Amino acid sequence: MSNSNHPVTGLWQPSRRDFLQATLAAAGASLVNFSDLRVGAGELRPGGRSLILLWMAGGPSHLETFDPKPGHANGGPTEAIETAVPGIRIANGWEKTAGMLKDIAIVRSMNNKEGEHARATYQMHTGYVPTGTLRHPNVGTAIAKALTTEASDLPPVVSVGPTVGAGFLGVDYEPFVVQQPGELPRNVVGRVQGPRFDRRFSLLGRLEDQFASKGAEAVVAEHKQLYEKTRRMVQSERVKAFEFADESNDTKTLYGDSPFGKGCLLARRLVEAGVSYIEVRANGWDTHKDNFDAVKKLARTTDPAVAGLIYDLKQRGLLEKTLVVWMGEFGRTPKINPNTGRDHYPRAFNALLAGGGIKGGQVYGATSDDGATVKDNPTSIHDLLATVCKSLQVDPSIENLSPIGRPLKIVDGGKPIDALIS
Amino acid sequence: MGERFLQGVVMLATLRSWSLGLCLAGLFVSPLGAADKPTDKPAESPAKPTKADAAKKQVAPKSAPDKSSGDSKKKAAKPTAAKPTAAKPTAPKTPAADKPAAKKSPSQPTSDNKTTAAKKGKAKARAVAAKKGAAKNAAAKPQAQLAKTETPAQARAAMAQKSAEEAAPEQAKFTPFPRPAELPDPGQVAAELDQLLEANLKQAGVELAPPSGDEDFLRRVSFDLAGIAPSPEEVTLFGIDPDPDKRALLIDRLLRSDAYAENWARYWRDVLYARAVEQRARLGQQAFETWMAEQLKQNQSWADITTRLITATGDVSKEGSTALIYAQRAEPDEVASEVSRVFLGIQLQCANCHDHPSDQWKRDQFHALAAFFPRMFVRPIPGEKRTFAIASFTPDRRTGDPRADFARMISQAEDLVARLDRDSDGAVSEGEAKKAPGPFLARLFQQGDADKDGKLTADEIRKIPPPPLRGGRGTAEYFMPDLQNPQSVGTQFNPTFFLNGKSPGEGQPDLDRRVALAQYIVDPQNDAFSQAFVNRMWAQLLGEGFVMPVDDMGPERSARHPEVLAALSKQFTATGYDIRWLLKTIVATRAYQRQIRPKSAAENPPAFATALATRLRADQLYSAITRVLGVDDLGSAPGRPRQQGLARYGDNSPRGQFHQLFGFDPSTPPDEQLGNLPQALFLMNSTAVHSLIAGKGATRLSGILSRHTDNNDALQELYLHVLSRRPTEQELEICRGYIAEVKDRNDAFEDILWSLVNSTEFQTRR
Repeated sequence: MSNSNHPVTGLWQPSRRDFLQATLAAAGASLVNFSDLRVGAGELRPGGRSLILLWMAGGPSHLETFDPKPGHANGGPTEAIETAVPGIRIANGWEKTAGMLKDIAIVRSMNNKEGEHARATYQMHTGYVPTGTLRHPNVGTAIAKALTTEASDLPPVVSVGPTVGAGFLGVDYEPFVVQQPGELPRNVVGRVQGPRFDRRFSLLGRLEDQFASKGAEAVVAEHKQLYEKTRRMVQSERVKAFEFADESNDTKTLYGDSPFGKGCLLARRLVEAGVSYIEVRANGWDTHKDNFDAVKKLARTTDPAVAGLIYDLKQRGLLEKTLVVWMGEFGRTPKINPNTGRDHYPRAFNALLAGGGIKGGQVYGATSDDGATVKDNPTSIHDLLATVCKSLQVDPSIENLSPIGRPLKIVDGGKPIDALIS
Repeated sequence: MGERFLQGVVMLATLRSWSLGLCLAGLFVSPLGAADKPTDKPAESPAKPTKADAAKKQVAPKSAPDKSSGDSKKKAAKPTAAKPTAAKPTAPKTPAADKPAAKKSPSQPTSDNKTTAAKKGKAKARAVAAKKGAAKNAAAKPQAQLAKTETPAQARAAMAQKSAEEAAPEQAKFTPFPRPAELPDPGQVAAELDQLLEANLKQAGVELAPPSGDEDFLRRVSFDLAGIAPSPEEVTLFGIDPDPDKRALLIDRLLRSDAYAENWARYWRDVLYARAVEQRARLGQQAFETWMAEQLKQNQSWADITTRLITATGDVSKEGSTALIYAQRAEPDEVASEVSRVFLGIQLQCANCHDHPSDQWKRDQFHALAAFFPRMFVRPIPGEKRTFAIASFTPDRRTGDPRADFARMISQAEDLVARLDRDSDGAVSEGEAKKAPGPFLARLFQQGDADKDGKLTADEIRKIPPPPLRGGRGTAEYFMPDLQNPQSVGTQFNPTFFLNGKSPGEGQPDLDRRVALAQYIVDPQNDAFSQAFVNRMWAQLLGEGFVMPVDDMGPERSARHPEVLAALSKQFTATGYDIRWLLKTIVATRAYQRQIRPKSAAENPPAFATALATRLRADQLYSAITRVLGVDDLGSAPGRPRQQGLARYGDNSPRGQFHQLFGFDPSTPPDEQLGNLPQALFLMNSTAVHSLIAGKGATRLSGILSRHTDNNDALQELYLHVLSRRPTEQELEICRGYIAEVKDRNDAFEDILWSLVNSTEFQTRR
């Protein structure tokens, strides 16, 4: 794909021709099978909505992403660049994302207190503080539960890389973890298929009943449920969504040839195939040392993938109903440490929201000139998660029951940010 | 049970590690390469012992005399310690083998004759020579002499191998827990427990499930004690054995087997690693398994195993006892949480940030427990790759305690300026800052110089934000973080054990603190220690415990049948925490030996009226599946999985990979131990399983089919292999019908074997 730059801003803009080529190629390839799969995805989710979380594991520096502070000592060598929205400037290295900013809302006023990776990761995903006794569900899985009305052939939650699980929501919403985006998950294709597979599967069912009748009903019922789900997935045409065989090279290039880019492309395909919640993880954001070089390198793969995903979703008419969230577990210290790095900093960080019901082209909240404190419109984790729910038209106060029967809201506390929702 | 490392394994690189993903530990596995790097490389190098380090140690109050005769002028070891402390004979130049490491009295009535320390040959001889207690403060002289008379050669060797010496830090010394000469009869204790239990159940009007038959009992107890299924021959022989004591004899035999030690070592590996916060914790996995199996084989007491786990030092890939601490990255708060969870069944970590919401624990109590652990840390071993050591940090004037030093610097900003300001301009220049005590002022100069005039005023010094506080590096004392101001230094805490209020005192060396804590924990007065273990073992063997989950017992949780738990715990303590005795007693109960029983939908049966079917742990399932299919290992299939990120730190053997797929945290209650899609996909579709269930070729099934032309006989043998029982008449009927329907005998039997391997029963302990 020839990435043309905007004549005035010099920003990257996918050209109309690029877009046409990309979609035609995709459509052509999908004549084989894939376009058929998309039909019907809507039935699984009546609203047709889904959530993609781009998870920057380690905690991305807000100063080197979407809240640069050039001119202040804390800003370091990072420069600010213009975006497609006049007046909004983000850090250099994010030129492609800058080009898509009309569709993106930047939240610059995230703040929290937890500065430890695992605990902050848990909090950002679940909206709860970790406890030893209760595993809270990843909010995305709870949203998937609310969005998915019928049993799908594919798991309703897929994660590229490990993530926080579905907690007490159980096996049905447990993320199906994919490590190699672009390839069929292992063992999805069996050596025995067709009628023989059905035959042996029904034999298994009959033998299972024997064990159940001896006092193992509970475990057999669970096991059967799991096997039924597995069978549906194995026999589903939709599993082809995991492979990129029918994607054009242009589309692949759009996302960038990186594991994270592939993860984002997979996310789009899974949205088309009816998956409600997809998380794509990018590692390496824990930049205690050489922060500036490290983020530059990360941006080289993250920027095209984020921008490409939003662009691609938009061109396919999926962006309206697909919310893309970009965030990590916290920000990084505005003061540069002696290793030219930045350390954990939960008091001020940023996040991106795009698509879904989000009003793009705006910045919400602001940090002080030194990037150390939130100046305007402080946004808590709960505010953000409630906004995520609302933009997908899921009521954040829906309660799920914990194993001991305690009702827990999807998001307990916080207020959806109306300014962000269109 | 050695498994070969086979290249060309097809399994599970794509699949997540450990647990069902219900566990946070899964977060630490990297999918896409570069991972969040834990900070084990000390930026400020407090790690390296220096001369000053040694010197400081010698004058430190209450630290025992140093026997290294190197710096004699500083050797003014104060014999002031009022309370006995474990010896601290650490000096950097002292070779490891030169320490009176294993301080063990030969008179102890225990099988404890292989402490890890004692394995270091010469230390052993010394250990016997240096009497128990001699290491305490009075023993300065004899030790110094011993050091002189014995060391030259060793000292030279140590000089030559400084790195080797660094890899073997000081070992903790402790007195093994005393064991009684005679143990109560397990059968009798079991009968008493049953009486208590059955009285309760009868009172509640509950009907007890009948005793299990021989087949079910044999399979259950074989899995539970030895982690393996019985062979078809064993099933048949056990069934026809007329000996009325055959169950007790079987239990004895299983408990003496190597498989017993291996099985439970793997169980404990799963317990400790399931909650690991250190991504590379599995570097130490093999060492832990080996070490733990050895402890179990020798029937070391749970008290001594506990003590070793709490006081471990050394190379994590060689000293298996370091597992718990290394898995928690030696971070004081994480280790405190884990010690409390595993050994006491108490989840104290909620009190990390606030007073516990539902239990009585206070935030202070948690941090006072963490204060037993500030001085240990993970450090790289010079010249060795892919391993680390757990070492003790000893503060000295130069490395100091970063947090305390920093706090002091800030609080004395004026004095500091007055002292350093040579050119009397009222501020400290960069050159002047280099003369400051401690590294901070020079290092943080640029950051502190807010107005960029090249000078630091006292005011600017006061405003310097503290350097990042990172755990796992060793500091002199423990500081509770200030949550309102996470950047600040926090509040210093002294070690105090929350269950008895005891403290080893202030300023103690690392191992003295840890040994003291271990003693408080294993103290017979501490019921929580005994009850946590008894409850955990009971739950593991019966499918549910007196309190669930096993690692969250209270104090405000009420136990079911509390008198049974109390009675058994009391006996367990009286045996000197004898693990084999406890397991033998539990499996001898009628409660353990009941059948699983259909439960009516309305009824939620009270605990222990019936046996429960629970999932096999990954290792048990792996042993079962390889035995059934007649192979040493799964994974002769082509296609080697790509190495992904941190997977390379794991056990990449076929068993290790299987474990990554099927492993779960054994501390979670059975009803939360759910299977997942990748597991089902593996058993249903994997090439490894597919090729091994074939009816042709050198497979188990092909052998059965050629031995038996009669389908009934073939089915009998197949069921004995897979499920360790004979098929019922109904099952035979279903299978015969299936064979008739399919017509192709080979295909039909493949499908039957496929169904059995994929069945709930095969993957369950019934």
